[in-house]
Amino acid sequence: MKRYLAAWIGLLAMTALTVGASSLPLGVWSTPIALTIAAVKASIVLVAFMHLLEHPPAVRLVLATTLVFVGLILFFVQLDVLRRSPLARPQDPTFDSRDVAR
Amino acid sequence: MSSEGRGTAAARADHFPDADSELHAARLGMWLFLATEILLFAGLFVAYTLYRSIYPEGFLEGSSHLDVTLGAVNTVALVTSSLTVALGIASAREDRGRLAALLLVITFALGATFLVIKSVEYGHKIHEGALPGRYFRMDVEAPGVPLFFLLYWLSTALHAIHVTAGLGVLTWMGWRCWRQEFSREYFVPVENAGLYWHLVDLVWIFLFPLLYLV
Repeated sequence: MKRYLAAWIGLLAMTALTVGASSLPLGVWSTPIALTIAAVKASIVLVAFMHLLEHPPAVRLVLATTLVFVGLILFFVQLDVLRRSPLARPQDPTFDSRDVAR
Repeated sequence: MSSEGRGTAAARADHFPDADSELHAARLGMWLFLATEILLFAGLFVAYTLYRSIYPEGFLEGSSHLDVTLGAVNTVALVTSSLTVALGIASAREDRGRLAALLLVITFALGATFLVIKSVEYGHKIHEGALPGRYFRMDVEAPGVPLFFLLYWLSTALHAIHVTAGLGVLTWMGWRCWRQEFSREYFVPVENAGLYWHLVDLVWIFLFPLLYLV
């Protein structure tokens, strides 16, 4: 029971942290930090509440594979978008259309 | 592993060589289902990532219209409900069915609170005109704000449907707990219900910062 309560306190602390961090001027780091905190919270839920480490090892394999595939789709979709011409990416100030021709 | 008890019902399936394998299979099966749920939500997260990278200011502006306080309260509600459901399963495994049922009722109440707050938020957004497609009538600066709200509606609605289904499952398991159907030896159904509820919490843990805290 202690482990559940400790996990809960940890999750509440992480929630407070992520809300607090969102009001700080972290610039481009705000999203990676928010996602890292979310990943920490997810790990707490997986290990403490869902007993991921006490369930069959095959479960961890299933989860890892799932995350690999999610990573793949995120990576390749983003890769495609970043290679598009400026007409398809009107908001990106860093894209120089001359780079495509080079 | 074998000190955990079978987890599954006594003498039910004889295509398993032993009780351990049966418990193994039941758990792996549930986690496989959870993996498919993760992939389901992943589709929406990919869409979010894609359009946020194209319209960063639009997403920033759209997100500023969401109430962080309500979102944070909802996060606390779901996180606490994860605690109560975990305690409920632990009680069921210790032959304390009535306590388990009570804890599942509290879990249900927290989940219902989440849905109530969500519908309040939805009401606000509808009133402000943050609707998809041609029904969008908010006064905004940056392009991409309607797209943000489309993703907001889709992901939170899909999540809310899962929460509702979870409430049904919790009710069913709560009823079974109350009737003392679970024990040290047989607990897999309530454990699986808990796993599903934790998944609902996990999805929200990622939705909250991406939608509310941009």
